[in-house]
Amino acid sequence: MTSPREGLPLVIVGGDGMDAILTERWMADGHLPNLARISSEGGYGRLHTTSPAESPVAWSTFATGLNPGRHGIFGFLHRDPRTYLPRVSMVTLRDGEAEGHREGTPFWDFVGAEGFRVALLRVPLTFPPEPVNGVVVSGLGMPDLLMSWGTSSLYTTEPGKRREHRVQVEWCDASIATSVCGPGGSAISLHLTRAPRNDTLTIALQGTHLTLRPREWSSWTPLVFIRGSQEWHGICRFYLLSLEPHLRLYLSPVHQHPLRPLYPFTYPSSLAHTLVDAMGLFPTLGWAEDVTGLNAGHLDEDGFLEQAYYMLDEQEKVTFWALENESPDLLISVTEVTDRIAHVFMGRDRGDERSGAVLECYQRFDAFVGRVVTAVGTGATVIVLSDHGFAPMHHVVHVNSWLRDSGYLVLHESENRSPHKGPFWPDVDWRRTRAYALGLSHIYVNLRGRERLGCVEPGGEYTRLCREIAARLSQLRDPESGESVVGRVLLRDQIYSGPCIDRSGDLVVAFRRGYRTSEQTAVGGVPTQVVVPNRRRAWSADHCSVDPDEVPGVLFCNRPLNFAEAGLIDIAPTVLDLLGVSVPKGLEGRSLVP
Amino acid sequence: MPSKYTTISIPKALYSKVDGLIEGTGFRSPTEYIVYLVRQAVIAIEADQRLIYSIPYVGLPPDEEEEE
Repeated sequence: MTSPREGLPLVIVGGDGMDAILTERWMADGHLPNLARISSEGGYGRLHTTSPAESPVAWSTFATGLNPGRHGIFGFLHRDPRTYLPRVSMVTLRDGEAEGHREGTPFWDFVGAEGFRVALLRVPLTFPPEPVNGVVVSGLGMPDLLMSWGTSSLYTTEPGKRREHRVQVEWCDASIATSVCGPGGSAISLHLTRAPRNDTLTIALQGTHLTLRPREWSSWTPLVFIRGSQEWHGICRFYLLSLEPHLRLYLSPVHQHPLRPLYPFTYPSSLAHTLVDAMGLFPTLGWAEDVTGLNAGHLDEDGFLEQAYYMLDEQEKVTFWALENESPDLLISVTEVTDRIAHVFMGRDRGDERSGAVLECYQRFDAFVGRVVTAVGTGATVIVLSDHGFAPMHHVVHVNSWLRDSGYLVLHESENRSPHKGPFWPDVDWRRTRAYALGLSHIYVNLRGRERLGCVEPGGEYTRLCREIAARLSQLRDPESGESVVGRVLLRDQIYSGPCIDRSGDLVVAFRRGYRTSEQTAVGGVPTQVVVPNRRRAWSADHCSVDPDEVPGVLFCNRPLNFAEAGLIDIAPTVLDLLGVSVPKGLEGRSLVP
Repeated sequence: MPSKYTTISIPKALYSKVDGLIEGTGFRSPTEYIVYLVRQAVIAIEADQRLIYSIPYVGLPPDEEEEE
């Protein structure tokens, strides 16, 4: 079967978190010539994101053309009403089995059913990969070898606070004997030796010897962790931050080895072998730009940026491999680099050498898009889009603390406080608590019959409480500036519909630009204050829990579309329409094809 | 030497129900089955917590936790 474009592919290039306001400014200034060319050939418009503007939610709506009430993903986290504990929304990992939680049929399944070949390259939430008529390399969701979304380590002789994954080491003459911790309590011996002139470090582990100069990255290094009869195969990279005055050696998260992964991450699974043959060892972790390592001080900004741009290069390699070898009718290639670099640098106003980091990232992305456009030829349809935009994050809001101060969340009296101090919900008296916040955007009512210790009656009491909280929280002001903090508080029935709606919170909070739900709120923390400055070292901008209208994404196409009022939910029917595939009933968006 | 075990209380009716359920399963006692179930639940919760704290939007570096 040939595509409606005479065999030329429809290509979607995604730049996660690419912000409409920045893109428009830099396109007008001439910094993004390839995007400007696409815009002049077809058009450009802001793309409405989802509520909340969180990537798992947004990319699920992109894939299915459904609202969260029907695809079931409402954020990174949701709560278990039986335990009040946070649960991961995208995927469950158990003993080598990965179960994705997104409901609904992605549009590429309808495309494939018509005989068109598809290539999905690191599209978020395609882990675990499902069979398609084509190939899949999974994106966001794939864990590292420690079953986390990225756990790095720092080996250092610099005195500092003891904490997990900061490995304090000491020179013994010119060498250090230490270890790399692996899964299941396993470990690998690691020997470090400095050269007599102290200008290089030799890293020895499992027969591999690497020599690095300061500010140099290693290549991918295979590792095999063994405990009893179990083996875990991974790959890692080292980055030598410094040798003097202190050794500081970064060890990346240990990615699952592409040839021996614990969880298949490609479809077909043999694709991983093909790609290694073509490209060499490559990263498999879904969140490979190590923002967490940067925040923990394991990595510096130079190293972080090199790692991020390496990921963009890898994305280009796999994209061109697929174009040349798979002849896809539909190719979707998503890079996360645009999101990661914006998180770190967009909200900073230091006037230093990093002030242009986000612009440089957008320019590199623009150049990547330009090379893709050249490769696919002038007759092909090219769409460039993002799932949401960005806003500076100068304050965070402890939503549970506001609920406490407002009388909705109740703590035990000090004499009755439990001696058991877990990380979640310290001292919350569930029998008297009427509402609680968890995740980045949701407030839940402690509803009788649904929550294990629910105390709010369904019906009128529930509805009155939701409306009262929405009205009062909307009035919250920054105690320092007097600014209004909250844009909107929406009842779930106002924005969602469908069989999965019970996975949602009862209220969805949307803050004004500059404010975001705190990390502590996300896991049930109840700190003292309500609105506090953002103290993170390397996380200066965000989009989660920001009013979706204030963080729109972008949509470019080299063919005319109805760009006005376009939303992520419209992409699925639009792509089907462009490919001449009939749009199935039940999709909620509209085709943007004129 | 302190014992490796401790005692927890569960309702007698539930214990009896478990006793009936394990017939033919290879579990030698309700206690053995309950310990198995709790271990599975703990593994599942720990796996989730590992993922949760590695979400960059959620996890805090320890220094910042201490400041709070």
